[in-house]
Amino acid sequence: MEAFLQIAVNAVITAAVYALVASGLSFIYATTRVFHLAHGFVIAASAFVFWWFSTTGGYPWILSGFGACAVAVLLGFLMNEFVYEPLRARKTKGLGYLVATVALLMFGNAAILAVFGAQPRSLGIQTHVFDAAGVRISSLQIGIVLAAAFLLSALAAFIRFTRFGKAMRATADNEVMAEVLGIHTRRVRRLTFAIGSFLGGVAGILMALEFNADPTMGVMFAIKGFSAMVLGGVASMPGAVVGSLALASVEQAAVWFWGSSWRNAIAFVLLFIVLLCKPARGWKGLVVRG
Amino acid sequence: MDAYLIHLGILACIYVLMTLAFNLSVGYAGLLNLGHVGLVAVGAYTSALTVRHLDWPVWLGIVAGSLLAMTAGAFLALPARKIKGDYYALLTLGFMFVMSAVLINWDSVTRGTLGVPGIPRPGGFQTNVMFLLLVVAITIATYFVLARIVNSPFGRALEAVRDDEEVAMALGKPVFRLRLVAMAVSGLIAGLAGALLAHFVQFISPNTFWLDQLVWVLAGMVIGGLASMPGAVVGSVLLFAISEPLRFLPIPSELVGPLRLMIFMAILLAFVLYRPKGLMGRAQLEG
Repeated sequence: MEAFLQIAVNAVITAAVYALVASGLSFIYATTRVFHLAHGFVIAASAFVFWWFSTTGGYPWILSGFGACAVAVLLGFLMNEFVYEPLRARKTKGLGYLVATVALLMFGNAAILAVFGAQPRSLGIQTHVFDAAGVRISSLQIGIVLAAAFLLSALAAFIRFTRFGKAMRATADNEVMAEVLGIHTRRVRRLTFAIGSFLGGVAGILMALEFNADPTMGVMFAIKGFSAMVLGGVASMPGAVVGSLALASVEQAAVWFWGSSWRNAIAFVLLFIVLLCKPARGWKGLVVRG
Repeated sequence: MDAYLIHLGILACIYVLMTLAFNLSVGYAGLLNLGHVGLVAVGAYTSALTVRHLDWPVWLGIVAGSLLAMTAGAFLALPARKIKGDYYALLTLGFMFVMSAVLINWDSVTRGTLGVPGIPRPGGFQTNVMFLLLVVAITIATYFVLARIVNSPFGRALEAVRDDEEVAMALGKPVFRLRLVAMAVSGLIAGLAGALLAHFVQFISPNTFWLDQLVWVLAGMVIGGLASMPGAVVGSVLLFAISEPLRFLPIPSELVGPLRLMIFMAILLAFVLYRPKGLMGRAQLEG
């Protein structure tokens, strides 16, 4: 029972970070129809910039956090402006985007390796650990879950209640129609990338705080975010959260029983099962898009 | 210097083989199989392990590796019936990740991250010169066999399936069987390239078959051009020609790898943006 509770707690913490990544990806996919795998680069860059600001730079966490998020948003914005928009202007279809985003992801991965080196960078934070009936959770981990929950609710409210959110939903629904009605879809995409990358930036910072900044995290988060998104249902916010919870639970259980070296294969095995077993007509993920 | 050039020539031939195989699945069959390097790993590990542990003759090991990779390639054609485009690409990428996890975790057989050392060369091809002759012969033979395949009615039907699956199906083409055969042949050649690599370098580890190699092959193919046999050769040789001088630049050795990858990816991106057909391609990157 204790083991079960501890796995559940670990899963929720992991899922919080995955959900930030997956909903960023899902949000970007909904309005732009791009599987933005280079999102992983944004996350890793944010983690490393945060580490660098707060150790070498010696800035307080708040400032480093702002710096890291600014870098993340800038990266997302630039990638959209100089890679995806030209591709869109040329009416490229699916695989062109995919090769471009893989190229961006690997370019970013190599750039981080070149600048920061291959070793993981830790901030070495000591936090208070609560021990409730044998289940351990640190104050930092509670903060991570709260931060993710707050940001995701804020995003959901933004999409639901603001004018720009409405324009986004319209663009996601039918881009041509949105343009006809006078929505500046290019600006919508720009803002979408900025917001999605901001979420990715926060995820990177949280990872740097809880574990460390690791050059391999970019690829890993691209994969995990994608899997969580597909599991839960593409282009759906609740889907991204549910998918993240599902992925994180299976992963944590597998890590608990078999050890962590299988961890990265789990997402794919789950993805494989879901994609192959989905009903022939319209798997919408665990959550139907509403 | 000559020895160095021979060494390079062998590696270049092996990369050409991998790219040719990749071009068959992506360029001709239209399946963006990002698990390609996983197939190469199957060939390399099967050959290396059967020769090292079971004392099979090297040739038999190479054949076994190629055949197992062929089976794995055919296996990767199965999900293509249901899963298309981006999803297929990421699913096959998953094959590479799962392969890598197996190689790392099954350490009683594969020695995990330590890798497999001391893989013997085939008898009579101990020297690099002889090995170069061997791989050049194999590459040329493969090139012509593949050229024959893609210019046959089979190849044309395959390209029809790539361009429009439904039209091909309506015309009575056995879409699934065509793709199955194409992926199997692609796997066979990928496995052969992997086995040759293992027996040439004489050491393989899970790191030998990872994303860096995948994007290298991907870049070579896109730069050369989809569905173009000479393109695959030109693209991969071009990348080799760009990457090797980097070694002689006055930069720290740990920077060479990332720098090379950055240059490759920048070139790949430039091609996707400004010349999606590559140098000699006949098909677009679509899905």
